[in-house]
Amino acid sequence: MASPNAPVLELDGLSKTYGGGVAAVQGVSLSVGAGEVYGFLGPNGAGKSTTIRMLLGLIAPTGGAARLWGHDVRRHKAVLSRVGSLVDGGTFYPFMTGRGNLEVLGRTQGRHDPDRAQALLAQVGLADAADRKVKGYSTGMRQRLGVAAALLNDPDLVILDEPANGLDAAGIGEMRALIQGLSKDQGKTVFLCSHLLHEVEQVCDRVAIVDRGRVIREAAVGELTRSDAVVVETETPEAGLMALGGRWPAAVEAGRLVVQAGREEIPALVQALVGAGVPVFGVAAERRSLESAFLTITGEAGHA
Amino acid sequence: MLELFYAERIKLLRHRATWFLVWVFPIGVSAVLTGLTIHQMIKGQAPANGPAETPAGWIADSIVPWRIPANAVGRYLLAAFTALAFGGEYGWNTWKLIGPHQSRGRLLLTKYAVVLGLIVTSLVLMAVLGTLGVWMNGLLTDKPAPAGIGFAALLAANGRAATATLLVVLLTVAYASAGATLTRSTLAGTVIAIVAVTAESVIGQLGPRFLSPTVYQMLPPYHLDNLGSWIGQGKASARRFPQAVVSLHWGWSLLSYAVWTGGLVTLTVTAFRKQDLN
Repeated sequence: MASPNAPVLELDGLSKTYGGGVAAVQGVSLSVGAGEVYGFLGPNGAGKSTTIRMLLGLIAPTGGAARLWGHDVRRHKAVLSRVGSLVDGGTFYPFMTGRGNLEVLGRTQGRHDPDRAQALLAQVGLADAADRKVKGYSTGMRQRLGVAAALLNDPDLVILDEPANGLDAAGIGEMRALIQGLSKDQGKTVFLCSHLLHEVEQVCDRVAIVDRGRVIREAAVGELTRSDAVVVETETPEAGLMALGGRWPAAVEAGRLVVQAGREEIPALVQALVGAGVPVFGVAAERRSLESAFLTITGEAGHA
Repeated sequence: MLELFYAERIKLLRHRATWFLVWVFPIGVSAVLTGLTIHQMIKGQAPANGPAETPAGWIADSIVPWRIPANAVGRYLLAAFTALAFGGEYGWNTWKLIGPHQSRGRLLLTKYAVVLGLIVTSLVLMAVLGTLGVWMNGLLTDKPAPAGIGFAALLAANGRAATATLLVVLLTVAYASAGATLTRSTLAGTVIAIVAVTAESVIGQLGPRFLSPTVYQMLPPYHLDNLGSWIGQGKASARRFPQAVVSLHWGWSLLSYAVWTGGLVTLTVTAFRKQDLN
């Protein structure tokens, strides 16, 4: 029996070992709440796609469970009627039109609504190409159709595997706005798998980083991009470096004085600098990009 | 469930292969009969001098098209169509599109329903056009249908011919669906079904020379032949072996047929439900 407060998506020790002993996913556990945009990141072959396929009931786990709203996906397949998904960049019947594919999907879902299909085709910019056969679509067009297909059943949870693949810069921007809109305007939960870390950083609330089938870090995006360093705003960074005298590890990077110091150490740091005659105009926490954090974390895991 | 049926039907009707694997039967029979009639009219062929055709003979001629889908080439075409319906989803990678939205058993059973529905529609159309074609041919070539052909007799003859043919078709569909699903490939499914159909034919004809009666009775060819014999002639088909004659009641053949066909369908559905759709 599912609890009414159960998370939208919960992976509990989810594992998949293929014949021959290849462990694609090993004990992945995470939880995603309603309305969250959750990023699922990892290098190629980390097990992201296998995890998503297990979530969608396409692959049977060899251990653990994937639960949606508290229901095990394997035992309660009906729960997937509340899920929309884009996997493999949109897989469609190539001999049918974009509109025809949405009709087949809608009927398979048991509720074909031509008006909704038309609205979604317009939303993803395919209104003019809706009656062309999919085999003539570009990668980006298939991707857009995939997004329309993922939203066709007005799902509560949207699972997107690399939704920006094949899109140009403008398309990526539109995709970002769409994902943000799904969460903020429509209250949907989004489980996003993408290698475009800059985009993930902008749209996700939390991320899990997976490597070789295991979750090696799960945190809020803000937490991952925050560093232990502060940037001191001063006209004389070299003098500041001298003034610190090795009390804190520091360096002058691109004309900025960057000091490894925690938030609680900032008053003492400012005092030391001002006391040494170094004018301080401001101190700000150093932010690192998600990409930098990702590379650091996966690099550490690789050397562990 | 009806929506799922429509979804499957839309897919198959919009695929070009359906034209030359399924609709080819009514189109082909119509084309052959039309061509034959035109040829006879141009040639000015005189009416046959032999005895006038009897109603029973005319009806027997009119149901000949039912033999086409039951012969090897007809079965190859239907096997390829079935393999496309079941194996196509792997090739197009579309199980990922529709798989999460329905139970796997329902997806596959709907495929069976739609594949058989389209085949039956096509074959009934073929039979109707064939009968009309024979009738028109008679009218246009001065060999009109004999008097006394009753609609009930025509319907009964077609019913018997259809039943015998559909038994063969259903087994062909079972071979091809199992082959395509287990190998996840349209091409492999087609090849497997073609090999099975060909093997059936070889065993049916040459089996008594190299198989024991016991083994022979466990395989489908005799039972298809026997059921066809019971349906068409009301008696068992006899196969002579060096030390025995195999001649069974239709009930045994129907049971054996059901085990083979049902077994293949069960194998297909069970395997599909356990498959990882990567």
